[in-house]
Amino acid sequence: MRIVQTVDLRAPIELCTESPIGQVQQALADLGPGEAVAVLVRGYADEFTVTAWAKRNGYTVIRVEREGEEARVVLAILPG
Amino acid sequence: MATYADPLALVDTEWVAQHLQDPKVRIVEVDYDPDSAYHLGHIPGAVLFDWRKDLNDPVRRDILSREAFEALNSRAGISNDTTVVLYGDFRNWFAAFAFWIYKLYGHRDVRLLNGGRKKWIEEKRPLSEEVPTYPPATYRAQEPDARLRAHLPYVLNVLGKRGIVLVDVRSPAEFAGEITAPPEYPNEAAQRGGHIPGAVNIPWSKALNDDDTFKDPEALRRIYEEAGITPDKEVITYCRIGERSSVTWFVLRHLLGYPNVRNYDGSWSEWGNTIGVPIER
Repeated sequence: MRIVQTVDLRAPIELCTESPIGQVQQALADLGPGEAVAVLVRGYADEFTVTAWAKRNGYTVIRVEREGEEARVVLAILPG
Repeated sequence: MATYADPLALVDTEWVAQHLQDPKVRIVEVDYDPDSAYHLGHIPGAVLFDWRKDLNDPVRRDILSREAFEALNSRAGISNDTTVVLYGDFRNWFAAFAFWIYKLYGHRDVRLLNGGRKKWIEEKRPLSEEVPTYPPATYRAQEPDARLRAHLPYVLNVLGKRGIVLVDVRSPAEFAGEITAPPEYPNEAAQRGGHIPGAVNIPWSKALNDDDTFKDPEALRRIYEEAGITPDKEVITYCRIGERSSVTWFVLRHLLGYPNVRNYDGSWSEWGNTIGVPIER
């Protein structure tokens, strides 16, 4: 699985930029076969939101790599 | 240690955890985007208020009417003596907006969850996907308290007057006119960028700690008083659509006890689209 895009959600939101899940959604929309998106988050709340949202919307959480307060969530679309 | 002026306006996560089964308490999640918040899991027993659908008039640009507010509360099983606890996504912005509406319509006991949805989840407290239903209640709202709200003509009329200050709580880039609204929020766009003449820029987020809880009273007082926002003045807060400014309105009115604070919910999406009003950059 090749990671083709990384979305960094570690900065606090201000709503002057895209919403966090909006950025993830946009990155996933461009995925091709065998490709994945990595999402960088800080804290458990954002990790929960990204993984729960992905599962609910039919994406696959390939893995979650945690280091301290941060995590790298790898998402892909796998054939059902 | 100093306490907040209205200590009952704020509850912490532990208080909520202890009141999950309390029939006198109704917990309400107020979301801008329920699909990436409430529907993924919420505080057990919490009902959802969708900011766009539930707290705004469906046709004209305005908050929901008094009758719609009564119906919303009735549906949620909220009566006039219910303790309403609000929290939500986007760092509690829309929960603060709902708090302001509750006060506008005269609800006695409404509180904000300090730290909001993020803090509850961060502490790995229980979440539920079950959407609860409650028996309908009788709810009677009061006439809106006009002292809590500013409309555009009012703001125009007080511009430059001694003893009245405007707090623009948007980011410095929005204040300077470099940003009006990002493309994904087309309904919030403005024809012109900048700020209302004389406004002081104190971004809403200055009032929060990293975990989204509010700073202590001394720290909050310093932030506003050093910028000339003192309790002897009438204060008008604004942002782009009135939700971030609700956070600052809450801080000034309920945490610091300023007696005269209005939220200008028309905010920049109204001012920046209005022909002929003065703008500063």
